[in-house]
Amino acid sequence: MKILPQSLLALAPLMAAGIACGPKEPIGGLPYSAEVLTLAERSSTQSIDDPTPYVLKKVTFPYLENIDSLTSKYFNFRSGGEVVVRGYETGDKITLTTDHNRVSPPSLYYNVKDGVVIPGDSFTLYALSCAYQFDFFLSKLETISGISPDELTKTKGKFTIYFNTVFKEIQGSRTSTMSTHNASYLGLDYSFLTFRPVQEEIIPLSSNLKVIAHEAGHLLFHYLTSDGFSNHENLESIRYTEDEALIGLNEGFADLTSFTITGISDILGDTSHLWKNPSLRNFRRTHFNESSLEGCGNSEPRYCYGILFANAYARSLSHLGVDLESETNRIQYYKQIISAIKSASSIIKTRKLALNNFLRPHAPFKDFITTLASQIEDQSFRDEFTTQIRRNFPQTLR
Amino acid sequence: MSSPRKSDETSRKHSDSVILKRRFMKISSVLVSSFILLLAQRTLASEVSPSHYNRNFAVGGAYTINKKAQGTDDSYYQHSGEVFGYSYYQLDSQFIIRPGIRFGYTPSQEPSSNRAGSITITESDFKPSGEISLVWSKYKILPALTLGGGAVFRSTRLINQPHVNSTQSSISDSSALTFVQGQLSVIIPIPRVPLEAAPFVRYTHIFSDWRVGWYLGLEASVAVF
Repeated sequence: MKILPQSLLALAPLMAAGIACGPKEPIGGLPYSAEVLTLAERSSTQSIDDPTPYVLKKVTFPYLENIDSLTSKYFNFRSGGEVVVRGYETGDKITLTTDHNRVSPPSLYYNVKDGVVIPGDSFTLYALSCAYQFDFFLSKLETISGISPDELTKTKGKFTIYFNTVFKEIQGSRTSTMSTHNASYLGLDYSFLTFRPVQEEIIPLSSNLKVIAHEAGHLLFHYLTSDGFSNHENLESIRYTEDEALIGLNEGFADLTSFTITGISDILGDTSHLWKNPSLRNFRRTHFNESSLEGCGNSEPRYCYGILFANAYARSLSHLGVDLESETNRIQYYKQIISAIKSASSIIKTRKLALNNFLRPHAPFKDFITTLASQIEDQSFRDEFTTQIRRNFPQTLR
Repeated sequence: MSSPRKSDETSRKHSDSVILKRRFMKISSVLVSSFILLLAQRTLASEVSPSHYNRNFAVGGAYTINKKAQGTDDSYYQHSGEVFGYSYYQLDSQFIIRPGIRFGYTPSQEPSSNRAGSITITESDFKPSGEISLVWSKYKILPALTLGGGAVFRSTRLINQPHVNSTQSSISDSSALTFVQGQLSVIIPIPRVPLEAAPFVRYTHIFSDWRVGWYLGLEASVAVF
């Protein structure tokens, strides 16, 4: 019977390890701090064409309430699985339904140092970084737009971020799948979709504030054009009629939102090695108009219309001598665009759902953009913007 | 943009050397203490007579494969190598107690999919452990149940291209975790030579790391006296 105590000596390394490792350090209290990937502060000497600076640094989450589930005061966070939108055509109507299959709270692995959450694997780094970009955007929202996050989420509550998910769109026998190299705002579902990163991405698109602020711009556009989400179907109606010009305006506004927050007008440049750098998306370097859309180089006309809209904004302010490197200036004029969109939104609201496949700008777009321009508060900006809109859309506004 | 890249590089080199030094100290201390423990064991056990199984001490190596979760619904396979030493004590005519020590190493094997090109986190583990097995020696094939535990000395590294300034990052570091594990193996003695092979299934619970669980493995050992 002497044997067992002797044998237990083999367990000594376990005891030694237990003593050596000690208890895990607790996370600091609210607000949470973590190390994430994000955009570096731009220096005052940086120009339009300088590369986008990214940084890994410690940040504080303004609204995050639970670090393990990445639940914020204003959003829920779900990971994996798939989001499926099905469209059923009945007469001249499309009924849309959304399913969320196998999505779950994120499974994070991290260490804690001095109360700061330090990601322990790539998934956790990307998930924390994604949540932070949304939290950061919301913390800036009232400053840039005059709309507080409380106001934005008053009608529909928390929105949802689907992280590393797969998006399927099923209409009749046609199924399209999106699983990588993109991000999306899904107005129908009041949610955001981000996809798995690929090697070509410089940092994951879901961690990239340029991309997230753009998508959040769609949420804001939805809010502005639907009486604070009270007319919720509105944006999706536009989307499914494939009205490229009106969707384009939404894209352009989203680019302006991103630009106002980051000061960077090239959303796609320095984002992925699969995309040209600098990209044709840079609305401060646009060399085409509606008559020469082939110069846009983009397969989807909506983005070209968006670039032209945002370009009219940047060009008119440039002609007025406004320094757009200044965040204060960007915010001042972005707020005027917001107010003008709000005033012009009745044109979208009264628009009836149709299944026509509009490939060129038509009446609603023309009405909307001219009304929008006319609603700009500052007279010199209004006049210059109207001139630039006419220059960029010579066919629609002839 | 050149100066941040340079300081990035310097910081990475410094942090690498600190990690290596810490790892060396930890590995050395565990090896030395384990050697002393084994010697003590042998001395204390010298009065125990060899069983019909006819092994007193054996050394060997093992290969394991396990699934490691990566986020919510992704995972990848990890391959690890182990070396171990066993001693044997006859409990009665059918059962043998087999205490042992084991050192495992898992190099970083994160797949290139599901990660952005410029920035990713990898980790490698060194796992010293102690264990005790109950071997049923009634038949020619010997089932064994093992319980054990130890430490994981983990080296975490941030792999970063110059696109991202990581001078302020604390991700590259080393950490120590504890684990417990249970294992079921089937020992197959090779006739006429002092060798045996044993496929096994093992469940490991690393405290504070939920990403691993079940392992499959194969080990081979040789009796040295």
